[in-house]
Amino acid sequence: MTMYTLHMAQADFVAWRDNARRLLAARVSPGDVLWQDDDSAGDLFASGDTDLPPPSETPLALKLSRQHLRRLECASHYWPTHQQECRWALLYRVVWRLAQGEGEALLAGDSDGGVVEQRIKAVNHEVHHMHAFLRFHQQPVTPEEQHAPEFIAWFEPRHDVLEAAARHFIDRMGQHRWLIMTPEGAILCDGRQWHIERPESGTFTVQDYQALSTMEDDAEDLWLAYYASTFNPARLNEKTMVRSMPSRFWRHMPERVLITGLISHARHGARRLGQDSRLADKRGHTITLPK
Amino acid sequence: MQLTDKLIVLADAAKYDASCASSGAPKRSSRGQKGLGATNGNGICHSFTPDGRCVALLKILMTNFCLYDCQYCINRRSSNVPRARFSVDEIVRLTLDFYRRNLISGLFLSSGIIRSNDYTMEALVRVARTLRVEHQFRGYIHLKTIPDASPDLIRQAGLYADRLSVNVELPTSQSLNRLAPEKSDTTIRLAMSTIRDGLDEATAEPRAPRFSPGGQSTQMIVGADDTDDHTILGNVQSLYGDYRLKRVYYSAFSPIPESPSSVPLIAPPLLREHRLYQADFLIRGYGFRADELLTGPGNLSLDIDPKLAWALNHRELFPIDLDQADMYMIARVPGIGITSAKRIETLRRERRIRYTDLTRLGCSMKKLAPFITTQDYRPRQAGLERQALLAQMQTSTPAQMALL
Repeated sequence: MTMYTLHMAQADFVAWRDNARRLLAARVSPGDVLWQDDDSAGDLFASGDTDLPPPSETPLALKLSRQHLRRLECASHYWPTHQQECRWALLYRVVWRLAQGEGEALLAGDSDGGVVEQRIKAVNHEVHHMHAFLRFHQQPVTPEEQHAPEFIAWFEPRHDVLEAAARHFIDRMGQHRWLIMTPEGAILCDGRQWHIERPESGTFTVQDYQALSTMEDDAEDLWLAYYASTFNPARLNEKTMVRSMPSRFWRHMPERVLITGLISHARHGARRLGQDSRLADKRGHTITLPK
Repeated sequence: MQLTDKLIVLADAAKYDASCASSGAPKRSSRGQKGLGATNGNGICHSFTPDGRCVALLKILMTNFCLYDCQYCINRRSSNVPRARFSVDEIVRLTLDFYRRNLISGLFLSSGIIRSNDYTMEALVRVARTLRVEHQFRGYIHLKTIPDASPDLIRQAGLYADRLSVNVELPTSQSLNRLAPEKSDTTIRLAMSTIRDGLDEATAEPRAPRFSPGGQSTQMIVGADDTDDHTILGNVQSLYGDYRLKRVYYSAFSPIPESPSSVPLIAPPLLREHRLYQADFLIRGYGFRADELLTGPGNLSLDIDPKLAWALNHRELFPIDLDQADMYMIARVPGIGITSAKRIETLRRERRIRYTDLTRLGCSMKKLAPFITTQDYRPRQAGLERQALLAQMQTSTPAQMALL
C-alpha cells in the first residue's frame, strides 16, 4: 500500500480542491494521504512527494452544491492548533465520505460534520470579532499626501479572516482611504479600489504598524469619556463583559485603560447608584415649571 | 460647557434605556460613494462595559432638561443633576467621528421633554435628517419617540430612522399614573399605533415612503413598582400582538441619586430581568403562551430557567423520542434550542439519532437528559418526582455575598 504525501505549497482552497478531485478519481482513501501545510513541520513518516496514481477505472466524482462548497471553504480558513487535525485532511475525509454516499458527513451531528461545523462557527465568529473590535486611528494627512491612508488599524485575528472581514469595511468607509494591518497581510483601500499586501518574509509586526501611526487621535478622549459614562456601576457584571469581549482583543482598544479602574471603583462603593460618580460632585439643578 | 462634559452628562442620562440593538436595518453600503456607513441587518456590539452590556450605538440624550417628574427617572425635573444640551452639530460630529473609528454602528437618540412635545420631537428629527441628508450617513439610527408628539412628526421620524420606539415605561397603567403622572398610557399606546400603521403601510404598498424598516420596540422598567411577572408577561404578550413590536426590553430599576420615597433604593433585580428576557424569548421564538410559563399570579422562578420550569411541571409529556417527535416539541425540551431542533430533524432523515449526536450539536446535556429518549438512551430519572428531579439537577455553587 502506498502512502501519498501532498505539500500544499499555497495553502489555499482552490489548490486543495484540485488535489481532492485527483485523489477521488484515483480512489485514494483518506487514510493513505498525508497533507502538509507549508508551515507545518515535516512528518516523521513522510516520504518525498509521491506522484498520484492514474485515475481508477471506476473513478469517484462528487458534485457539491454551491452552499456545501462555501461551507468547506469557510472551514478551510480555520487555523488548527497543533493538537487539532490538519484542515485539508479533515476536508478530504468529508468529501470522501460524501462520495461514498454518506450524506451525513457534512451535518452538524456527525463526528466529522460536527468538527467542520465548529470550525465554520469559529471562523465566522472571528470575522464578527474583527468587525466589532477593530479600531481605526485617524492619521493627520497633508494635502500633498493624497494617497496616504487617513485611517489605520492593527488587528490580530485567530483565523484566516482578513479578506472575509474586509468587505464590511469597504462598505462602511465610503471614499475614505484606510489601511488594516494583520500579521499575515494588510488591506489597503483608496476609497475605490482595494488590494491585499502580504509581508515579503515572515509576518507583519505591531512595530511595523506603530511606525506608521504618529499622532494622538483626539476623538479617543471623547470615546473614553463616553465609555465610562455609559457604564452603569450598579449593574457591575464583569463575567458577561469578558465572555462577550475576550481579553485578547483589549490590547489594541483605547478603552482598555479604563476597564480595571471602573471595576474597582464600582466594587468600592460606586455600585450603590447607577450614576457616573464624576457627576455626583458637580452642581446640579432642579427645574421649576413655567407658570 | 465643553463637549466632553456634555457627553459625560448626556450619556449618563441615557444609559438607563436598555435597548442597544443595531439589527434589523435594510442592506445599505457606501462602497466607493460619498457619505459614510453601512448596515446589513445584523447588529454589531463594538464594545462591552464592565456591566456586561454592549456598546453598539452612541446612546445619548439630546438634552436632560425635562419638564416631567417621573419618579423612577434620574432626569426628572425635581432631580438635582447637572443639566446639558447638545446642539445638532455636536451630535452629528460625535456620531461621525465615532463611526469612522469603528467605535459604534450608529446613533441612539432620546431626549427629555423641553418646551413642548412637538418642539422636542422636531429637534430629534432634525438631527436624523441632518445625518441622513447632509452627510449621507448610512449607519443605524434609532430614535426614541415622544409619545405626545403629532403623528406627522412621527411619520417624518420614520423616514430617517431604522427603528422607532416608544417606552411603555411601567408594566401597568396604574403604576404609570402613580409614578409618572404627566404620562398617560393612552397616548403612549396611540403613538405605538401610529408607528404600527406606518409599518403596515410601508409593507402593504411598495410605493409608500420608507418607514422605520427595523420596526418598533419598547421598554419597561422592572422593579420600580410591585407588579409581578405574571402580569408583566400577560401585558407583553398583548403588546407583541397589538403593535407589531420587534422587541420588548426590560430594564431592571437601578437606584438613582436622591431617590424619592416612591421608588425602592435597592440593587437592580438583574436575575429577574434575565428570567423575563428568557420568558420573552420563549414567547417570541418558541410559540409559548404567557399563561403556559406562569399559570397563576407570582414571579418566574429565579433558580431555574422558565423552559426547565415548564418542562418540570409537565412531566406527563416527557420523555419524548427524538426519532419520532414533532420539531415543535423537540424545541420545547430544556437544553435544546430551535437551531439544534432543526439540525436533529435534518440528521434523522439520514439516520437514527444517537445520544452523542446531541453533544456535538452543542445541546445542554445535563438539562435535556431526563426529557428525551434515543435508540441508545433511556433516562434513568424517568420515574423521579418533580422535586427529586429538580434537586438532582441543581448544583449549588457557593455565591459571594452581595455588597448591597
